[in-house]
Amino acid sequence: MTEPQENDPPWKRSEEILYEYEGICDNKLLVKFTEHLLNSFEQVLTPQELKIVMFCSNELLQNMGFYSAEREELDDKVAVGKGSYRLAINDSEILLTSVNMILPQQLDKLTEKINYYNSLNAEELKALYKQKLRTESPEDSKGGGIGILEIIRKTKNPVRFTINYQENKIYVTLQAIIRRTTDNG
Amino acid sequence: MDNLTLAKTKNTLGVSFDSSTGILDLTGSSYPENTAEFFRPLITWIQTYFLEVTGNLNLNVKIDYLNSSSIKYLSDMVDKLENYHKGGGKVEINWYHKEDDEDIMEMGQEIKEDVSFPFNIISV
Repeated sequence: MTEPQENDPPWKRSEEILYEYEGICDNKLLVKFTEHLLNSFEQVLTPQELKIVMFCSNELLQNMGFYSAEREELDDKVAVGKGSYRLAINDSEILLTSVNMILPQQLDKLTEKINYYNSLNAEELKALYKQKLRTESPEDSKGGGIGILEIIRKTKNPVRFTINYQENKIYVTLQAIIRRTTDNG
Repeated sequence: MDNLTLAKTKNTLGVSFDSSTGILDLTGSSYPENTAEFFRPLITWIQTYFLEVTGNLNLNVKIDYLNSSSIKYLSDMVDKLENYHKGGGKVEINWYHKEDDEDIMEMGQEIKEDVSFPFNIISV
């Protein structure tokens, strides 16, 4: 393994993995993970960081459960999305990463949406958030249609978005970045 | 009109809507498996209250956490209250947050910007 270099992008720098998961992203997982966060990370994260981590993790995991193209049918015959999730931390950032498969027809819309959100400043994001609260969720949206927008607003950072192609499958990686302030310890 | 009471769970809010007093309490965290299924009866109850009881309404919100789809439904609920207020109804929201919980405090501040009825943000 190569040593991290000063000019490396943040996600390549040395980081401690606090939590890693791969599998079905159903509501039971959200409940278990939230409990784990609240019980285990009080000493590691500030209360404010903990709230943002909880929010972003919940949204990323729920997104995979709703929209991942790789799905598994549960006992109650409901198909739930699969993916992987990682919570890592370094001196300056908390990194929350989700990876899941998407269908080719989802790619352009998702790319366009995230690039647009990432281009907005705080005021524009707030205006869009308020507008979306008052409009019906899109037909293909299983949540409130504001999850990624809210991740960007709460972390005060664009989401990092990458696409990988593996054996004719498309995988999307979404990474929420929370910058740690000096007084966070 | 019946009261609406739901016990708080790990991922759903505790609900206590009292039709005789018009006092509505929401407590806890919300990231249900099916957000629409959870919130629709609450919104229906409020609409029925406005039609049948037409009394004052006080909503006390003491939440720790809301996922994005719950925020959207809560916002919809607040819009219904705003419409009732604009039609002459008396409405008030008390929005409680822990002293160090900026997230919930800011959420309350943003909702407050869009309503014309009394909206009190209270640090506890």
